[in-house]
Order: sequence, then structure tokens, then C-alpha cells
Amino acid sequence: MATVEQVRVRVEEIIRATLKLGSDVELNPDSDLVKEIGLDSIEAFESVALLHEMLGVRIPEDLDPKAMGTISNLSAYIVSKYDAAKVDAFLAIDVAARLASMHEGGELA
Amino acid sequence: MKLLAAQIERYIPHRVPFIFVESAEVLGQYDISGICSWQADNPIFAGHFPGFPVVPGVLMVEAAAQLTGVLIAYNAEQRGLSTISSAQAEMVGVLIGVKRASFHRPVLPGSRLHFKVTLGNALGGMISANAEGYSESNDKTIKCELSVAVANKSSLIGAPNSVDNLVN
Repeated sequence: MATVEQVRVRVEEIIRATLKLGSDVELNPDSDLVKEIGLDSIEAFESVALLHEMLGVRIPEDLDPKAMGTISNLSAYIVSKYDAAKVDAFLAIDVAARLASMHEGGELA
Repeated sequence: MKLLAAQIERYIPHRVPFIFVESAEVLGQYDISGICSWQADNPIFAGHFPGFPVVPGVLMVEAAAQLTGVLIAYNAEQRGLSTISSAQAEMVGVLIGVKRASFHRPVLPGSRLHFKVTLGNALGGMISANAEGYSESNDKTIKCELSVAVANKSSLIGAPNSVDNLVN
């Protein structure tokens, strides 16, 4: 059973990829992505959209964007919303390789 | 549902010389196809390029964005929400992102492209879409990924950080 902490590592990778942040930049998982980390609304949308692309699902229509405010919240949402198989597949993703594939025009699964 | 020019103008505010969707067919909640064209008398061709008029790639992206807007407004209407077609409307659809755009062959004035657009993720008034356009001989001509937002006009103009007011 995947833990929120395991998922948090993967979510942080995706946020770093969206913002093009190096590993030397600290990201507090409880910091507000918009007010404290500095994402604007478009970057926040791109991050949540990319996260769902990697989960292989559409963003649910009833998802409250205000509930997605921190890396911790996003991680808890994934663990609570999706079944173990989906979360395990998410954890197995090589984020860098997937992003490289997307940038080369490859299709997401 | 097939939509002709007059119906398309109910769904998006664009008008001549900057409306490129000639007709459309809503194929479902997430899918639309459409014919887009650029008339030879469009003033853009006087400058792009003198003596060698070709459709700018950005206008093909714009055509895909307009078709995306038609589907978003159509879906909104189906849900009983108002459309965004009139100049007086409070809301407007704006292009907020373009990714992985590629242009596979030149398009000449008077040509028609057959576009297919599929909506992707949506959150907080922002929506992504994948678009492909094909020539009349069915050759792939353009591919791109778009993001659009439905925004309040007053939040876009004069705001110190307009991008953060897109969906307020």
C-alpha cells in the first residue's frame, strides 16, 4: 500500500518539472503553491493536469482547485481518490523519461 | 451537431477578418471537427509575404483555438450556461498556452483545413486540448496542444497581474 509520503516525492518531481526547478531549490510540501511557492494560476493548472496525465486519468469534474493548494494536499488527494494499482503505477513512473517522451511528441499512456 | 457560420458566431466572438472557422461538427462532449479557411482577400496576406502569400502558422493555431472555443461554449450552452459570443458578454475565452506545435506543410490562401480537436483536462475555468489539421488531400498539416481559459473581461484589462485573475 503506497503511502502519502511516497506519493509526495513523485508529486514534488512533477511540480519541479513544471517550474523547471533544480534539486537545490527547497520545496516545502506544506507551502501554498500559489501564495508561497509562486506558481501562477496557469502553472498551477499545468501542474495538476500533468499529474493527472501521469495518473492516466482526466481531472475529475468535481475537483476543487482550492483543495489542491500544497504538495501535501495533492499527495493526500491521490492516495485517497485512486485505487492502489493506479497509485502504484504512478509511483513507478520515471518522471524525467516521461517528460522527455512528451517533449519529443510521444503519446502518454 | 453540425454548425454553420451563423451558428458558430453564436458561440465565439471572433469576426471577419479574424474568424477562421467556416463550419464545425460537435462529435461529443470532448470532440469537435471543423473546416477552417483563410480567404485570399484577408489583409494579412499583403504582408505575409508580399508576392508569396502563405497562411501564418500562428493563424492555424488560432483556428484550432477558435474551434476549441466553439466546443467549450457549446458544452456550456448544453449545461444551461450563457455563451461568450457577443461583444457585450462579460466572459471571453482566451488562449493561455501552446505546446508542441508543428507545421508540416505550407497552407495557401483559399485553402481549407480539416481540424480535429479533443478536449483534455479542465480545472478552474482552464482547459487543455489537442488539435490536428489536415489538408484537403488529407495530409497532416498542423499539430498542437492548446490551453484556453474562460475569463472575465474586466479581470484581464488593467490588472497588475492579469494571469492570476483569469478565473476569479
